[in-house]
Amino acid sequence: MQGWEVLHTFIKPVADANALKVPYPFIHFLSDYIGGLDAVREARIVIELVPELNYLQHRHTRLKDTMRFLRTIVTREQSPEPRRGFLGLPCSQSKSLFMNCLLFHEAGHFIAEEAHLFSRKELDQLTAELCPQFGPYASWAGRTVLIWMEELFADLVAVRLIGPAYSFAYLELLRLVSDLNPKGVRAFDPDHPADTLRFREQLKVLQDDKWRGHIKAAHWADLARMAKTKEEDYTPPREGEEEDPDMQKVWRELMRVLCQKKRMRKVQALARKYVKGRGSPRQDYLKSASVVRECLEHGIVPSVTPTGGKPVHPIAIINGAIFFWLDGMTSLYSKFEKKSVRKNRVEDRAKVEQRVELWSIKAIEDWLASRE
Amino acid sequence: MTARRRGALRSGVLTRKEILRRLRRRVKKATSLVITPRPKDEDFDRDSVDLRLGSYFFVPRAHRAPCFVPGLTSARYLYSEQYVPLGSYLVLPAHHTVLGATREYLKLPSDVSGEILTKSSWARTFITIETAPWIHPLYRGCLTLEIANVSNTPVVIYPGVKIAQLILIATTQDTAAGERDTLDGTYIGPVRPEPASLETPQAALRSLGVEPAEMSYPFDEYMSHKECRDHVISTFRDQGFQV
Repeated sequence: MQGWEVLHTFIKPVADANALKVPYPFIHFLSDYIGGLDAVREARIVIELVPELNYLQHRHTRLKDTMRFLRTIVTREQSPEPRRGFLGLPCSQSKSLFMNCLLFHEAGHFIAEEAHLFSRKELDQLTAELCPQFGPYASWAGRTVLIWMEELFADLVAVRLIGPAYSFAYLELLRLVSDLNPKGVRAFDPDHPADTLRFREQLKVLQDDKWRGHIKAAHWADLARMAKTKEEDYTPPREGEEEDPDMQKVWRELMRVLCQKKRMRKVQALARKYVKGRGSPRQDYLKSASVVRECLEHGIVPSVTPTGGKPVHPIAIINGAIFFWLDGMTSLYSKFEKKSVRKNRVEDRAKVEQRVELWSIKAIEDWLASRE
Repeated sequence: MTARRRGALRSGVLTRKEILRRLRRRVKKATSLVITPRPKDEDFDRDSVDLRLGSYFFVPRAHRAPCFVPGLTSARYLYSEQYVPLGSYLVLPAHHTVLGATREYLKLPSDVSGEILTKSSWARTFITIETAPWIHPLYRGCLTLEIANVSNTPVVIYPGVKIAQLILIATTQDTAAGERDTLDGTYIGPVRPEPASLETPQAALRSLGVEPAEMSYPFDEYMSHKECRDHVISTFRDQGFQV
């Protein structure tokens, strides 16, 4: 009976995510790309569709035990469990490409867990460091800071792996759920640092990687505006309607601890270290940026290699397609015969935007096939 | 200068040399040909190109309405979607059909039409892939294949196999060698099979000058009075169908 319960809890959502309900080639690429990193070599990604508009990563340490248990029931095998990253994808985004770039953030959590970053040892060190300020609550304080650091780490891993596509997907998600409410984006919560702080750190990576010259000024300004908030303007988490002034002070102190330069440098260095071996996404993008744009402008899957050269890399496809979606759609609309698509009709726009995503997913599929 | 512009093609089937020449043109040119992913050298014949089966399928399923009325009931309820990755397979039972698509995404030049045919070896296993084989100039998208197993034996089909032949035919001069590159909106660059988008019978009748009020509906002959008929129509409507 216990086995059936577990099967239903874990197998059903994964089975639901099978087949066409996920952007399969994109997930395949994500899985391969992540599996090439030393910390998670040859890991595979398992996708679960979730009802909330929220991406997530299941702590797989517990799931590993469950999987081992299931294997003993189903196959009677006792072999060690292979590496698996369990990521949740919102069911409403099941066919999307751009928004699903956020899965790279969840993959960052998976890397952190596999590499035992922000773990017991780190917690003990931080607790000792925070003991003078937080006394008996030092362990809780340390754990909170580590949770925030891991969030930042996961962001930075994502930006280092796929470039600005991640930041723009994140911006789009915020636009969708909060309309970029200025108060909301400056607020910390117990599990996440403020969005503006997260953008600030991402922007550092994009600047280091010299993306600025390849992103239109208006879009760069969107990111820079998000990153601009001063540290003293971050707002602490609120618990309930009442603001407890003492608790607010504690939170503010914790936020200060997180924002210390040494800690930010450490998170940046860790992200750099754990994606080492993957080339700069900018290089991949530059090799084929013009091909991707020209193809999408003409309603063509951006995997064209007219001279029979190397296939377009998915990083170039994803970033090129996002840039095109941000500023190139007008040129695509102008190609349509007027009677068939009207750009001021919402459903027509949605249809064409979805096409751009489908063409890009198809191009990733073509790249995967060329490699196989 | 004769009626034919210098450099324009004569009407006829494109040879391998001409196909390759068109493939080398920039995609932004209306007269360029795009086939992506690019077929391998051995896939080009003297006057045709082999195309492969893609990974997306629409598998027919039992329809929940009493019948399918083209243009009135939505065709998307006729199928369930299936993704079959390279290396996996789909079993097509005897006398069954499935919608598939070519692996290759095409863009035809403005002065070239195309035709897609079942590869003869497949035809000999009683698999047919195409009942609407004509492709218009400037079409773009993966080609939807209406795959039918008309044999008495189930057949296994693998995505990636060469299943179709594309023949390209230059049209006559007056079909616009220099025409502007445009997209049509009925099936905008599909990359997987797409359900039929049919004109409603009412619209068709109107275009012939017949008033749709005169239309009869399925089951009319079994229903003697108006209430019964209205009940059927409202049932259709409740299920989201346009009646």
